[in-house]
Amino acid sequence: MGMRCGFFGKSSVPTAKAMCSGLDSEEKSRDCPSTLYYSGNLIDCGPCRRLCVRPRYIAALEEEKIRSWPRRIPAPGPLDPLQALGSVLMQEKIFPMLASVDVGKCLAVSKSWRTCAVHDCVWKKRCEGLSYGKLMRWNRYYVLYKLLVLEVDQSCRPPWRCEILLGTATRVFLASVGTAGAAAAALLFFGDRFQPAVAESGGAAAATKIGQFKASGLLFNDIVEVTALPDPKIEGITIHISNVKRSLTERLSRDFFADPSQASVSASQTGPLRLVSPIALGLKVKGEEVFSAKRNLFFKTMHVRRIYDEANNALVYVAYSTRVSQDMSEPNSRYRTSLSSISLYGQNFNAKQLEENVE
Amino acid sequence: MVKVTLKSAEGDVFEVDEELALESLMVKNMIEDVGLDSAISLPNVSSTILAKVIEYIKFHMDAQKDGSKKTSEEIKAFDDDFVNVGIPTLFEMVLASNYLNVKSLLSLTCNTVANMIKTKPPAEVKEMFTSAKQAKA
Repeated sequence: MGMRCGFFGKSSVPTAKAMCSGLDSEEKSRDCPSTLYYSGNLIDCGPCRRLCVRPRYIAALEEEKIRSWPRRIPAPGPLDPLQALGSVLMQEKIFPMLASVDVGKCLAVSKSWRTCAVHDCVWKKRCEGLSYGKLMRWNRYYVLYKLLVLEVDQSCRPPWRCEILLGTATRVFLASVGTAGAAAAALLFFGDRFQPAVAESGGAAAATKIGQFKASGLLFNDIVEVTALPDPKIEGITIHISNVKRSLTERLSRDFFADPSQASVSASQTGPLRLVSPIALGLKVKGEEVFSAKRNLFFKTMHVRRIYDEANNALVYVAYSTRVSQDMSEPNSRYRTSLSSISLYGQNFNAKQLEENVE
Repeated sequence: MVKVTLKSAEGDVFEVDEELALESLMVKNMIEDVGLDSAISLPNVSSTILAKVIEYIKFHMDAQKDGSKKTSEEIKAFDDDFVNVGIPTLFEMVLASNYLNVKSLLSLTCNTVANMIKTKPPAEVKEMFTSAKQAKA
């Protein structure tokens, strides 16, 4: 015996006889009391003691009522590919046809899309391409971020660049790896984005990372990076800078966004010298900045400055750092400078003379 | 020529050449299991979609034959026209090609879905599928 059919009420059900459409002609002639019971798709007609198929119009009424119920979560749309095709088909067939940036965009479509698009199977092959084999969870998001940045960089300034980098990546990081992971991501984000941006301010050419290796530390090591950048105003001179990035454990213990600002610089002639644009000359102008990079979120910057030694006909490059903090406990990088010079003797290169020619 | 009988979800019967039917790996396995005597039931594929799948396979089989005069431009035009359908039909074709295991059709339809997502910002992707849903309602 099913539960009582108080669902429609007597007024919406004209007669019990009409409802018993499943009965044969002989039984239809009987009078059924108006109290009906239903269970599932079949009406349990109490007095007749048999199950009748629900009349169509009642089924329609029922469906209409169900449809009009307020629902907190909307029913899955059949035209959403994720709902229509399923996550497996999306992950194995659709996402491999998309660039990493496009998969990254899918993370921002909805929660279910994000769950689907962030799965390991989607990113495994892409990670393998970057020689990232077995990845820890936070590392996976780092690779995801890297892929997004790399491909966004390749595809010349799409309008949604900021949306991807700030919106999607941040959301994924915050949701998935927590505060520490997000902080690491922010560091990676800012660390990578600041350097070329500031380098551009010093000239046309950007710095290129030519080497990177692990230094001190057991599990999480400090990283030594060697960067090469051409002098933006004198063609044929390459400046090499080496600096240290702190390990993750050390970051977590203190000053997460800070890196040592001390760097070593070396300049060498790598081709015939040619002055591209006028360089700063004389004692009063105090040389000219060639390169600078943020070593903290705020107020700590590493600089490389070019000075032309007119008397000895030599170019001098000095690496130093600037900071707001006057903390005496950090004297190492605050007072340290690194210097490299290139002699222009016998080069038939007179900066002052060429400057006039360029002007 | 040996004929294979395919039965759609609605119960419609399609008689196709064996060579054409074997393009589907799923049908091929079914034939190996149950033989050609009985109709092969495809409960997950509707008649409309099955007809389209057969049309696609037939065209590409003709195009691959030695004496075919179809150029690559004609094949591409056919493919473009073939997937130029509504979103629900396209999804049904993806599901059908996946179920029937027709690799070329699966690749074509999945590529079409991927192209719908490509080069669009997330909001537009969401809007595209939502507006299509509203239009249907």
